[in-house]
Amino acid sequence: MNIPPNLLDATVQHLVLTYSALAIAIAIALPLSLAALYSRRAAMAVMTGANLLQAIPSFAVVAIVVPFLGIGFVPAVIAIMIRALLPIIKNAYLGLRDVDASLIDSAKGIGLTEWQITRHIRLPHAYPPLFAGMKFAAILANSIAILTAIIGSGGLGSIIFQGLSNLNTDKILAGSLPTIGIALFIDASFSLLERAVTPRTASPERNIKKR
Amino acid sequence: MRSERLFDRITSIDIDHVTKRYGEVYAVRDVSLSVRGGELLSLIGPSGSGKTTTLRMVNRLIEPDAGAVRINGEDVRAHDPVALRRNTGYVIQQIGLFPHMTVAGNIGLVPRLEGMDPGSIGARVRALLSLVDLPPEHFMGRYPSELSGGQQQRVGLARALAMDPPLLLMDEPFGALDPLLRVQLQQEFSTIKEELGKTIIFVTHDIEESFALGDRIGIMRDASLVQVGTPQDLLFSPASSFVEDIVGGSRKLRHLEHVTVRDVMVPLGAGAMLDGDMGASDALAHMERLDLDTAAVSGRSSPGMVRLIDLYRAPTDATLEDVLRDVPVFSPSDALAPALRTLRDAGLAAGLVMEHDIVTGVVCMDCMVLELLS
Repeated sequence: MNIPPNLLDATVQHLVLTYSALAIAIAIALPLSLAALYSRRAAMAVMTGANLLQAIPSFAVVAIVVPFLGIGFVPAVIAIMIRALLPIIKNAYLGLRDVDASLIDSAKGIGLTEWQITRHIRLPHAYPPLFAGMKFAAILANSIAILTAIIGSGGLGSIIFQGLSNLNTDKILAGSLPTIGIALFIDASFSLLERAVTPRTASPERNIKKR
Repeated sequence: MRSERLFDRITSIDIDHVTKRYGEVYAVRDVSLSVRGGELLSLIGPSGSGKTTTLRMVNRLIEPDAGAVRINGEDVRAHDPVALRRNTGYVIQQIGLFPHMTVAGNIGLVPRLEGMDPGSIGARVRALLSLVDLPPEHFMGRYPSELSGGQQQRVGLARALAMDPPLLLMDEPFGALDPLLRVQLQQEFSTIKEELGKTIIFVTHDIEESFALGDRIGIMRDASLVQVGTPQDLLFSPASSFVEDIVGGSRKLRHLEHVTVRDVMVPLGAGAMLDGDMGASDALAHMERLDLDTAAVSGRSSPGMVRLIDLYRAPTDATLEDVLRDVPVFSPSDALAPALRTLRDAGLAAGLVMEHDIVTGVVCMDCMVLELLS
């Protein structure tokens, strides 16, 4: 098999593309989901907006940034970020919101402030859905980072597209196999992370039947 | 952040004409209620009667539309709600233990947020767990999912006591437990209550629980307070047939332990009170005139009773002092059941009731029955 000389560069570029878009998406999604928690109007806006974004085909999102932002790395990051936003916002918001009402009631009743309730009760409760959302967003980002090669983002997508345009099987495989590898890595790493941060609700050493 | 100690002890809680409406529906309508420092006031009523809403207005979980709640004379709205709640214990039926925190984490959360040092928090958690009968070394590290319902409720109580609040609000804390466990926890709580000496407002829909724990009971219906009083008040002078239904006529017998001598005693008129120095024949004439079968005698050493039949047999020169019969003497606040037992054991039909060295009435075996029939 003929390995393209720029494979390593393309892989690094792909990873930077994926993870920077993901990082920005997380940075935007978390404050938005917190805002949605405290204002019903914000919740409506955030959820409707996020759902609309989700309805637009990925390819269209990639295409639509071009007239506004042109082509290249930054427009690509933005296109990926827009796509990755929804699963994070939705899961974070629902995780923060759907806490057992009696927990919130007793937390308030013993004198926790709104922020302390969010910090000590809601957030730990939201960790599992939040990390599931981030994992899904990361996998989504990884696949859209292939598409953005069309608008000049570089990365593994450009190798795949080159391979496809002249039916070069070596190039197609050289581009797609690492992408699949990255996807598997994302899945495994986020699962580990999720397990590490999700608070325990039972002692590991004790195995007492739930009542 | 350290919250101010708002009150060291409660002298009074005044719920003053509070009203809370949701749309057109009144949750609480013009309810006024005074809770005395150190008492356990139990609020009872059907669901939707407004008892929980009333309770939650005390720690500002609900704000009234009209009226005010005052603790020690000060409107609760003058206090920051968070500070107010840290000075007030709060226990709910669902308990609401935080599932991702251990027992120690749950109890120690507010002390931690208050900036208490870890050493004192640990000591406090251990003391509270011992208070609620959970050996700290076995329970501190457990998670709520590893506790039984009764254990969870004990931890809930310990958590409510973490900041040593002088006031405790409890909303059906034992409601979700099976009956046997509930009675056991009630008894334990009764003991803890004496130890703590806190003012407690306790919402329940279980009249047995109200009677078992409440110093006074407030009965609510359709967003209004129907009657407040001691168990005796409710048993013997219900304000309405609704109260009577809730308290239950037949329950008078079941709650015999709450009935005192005062509730059934027959007050003595002045004519039925004779001096020990009075001559037996004079007394006989006096009693015949008033149609008295028995009379109380304020004897020189101890009071006693004299029956008409004894006077007939007495020598003409005898005084009442010579013929009086010693009878048990009770105080009006004595429980009725043991008083009746004393009479039965002595083979007597009646005893005297004395208050501040003055004979005020008679208590008789039949009194209880008469009271029930009336």
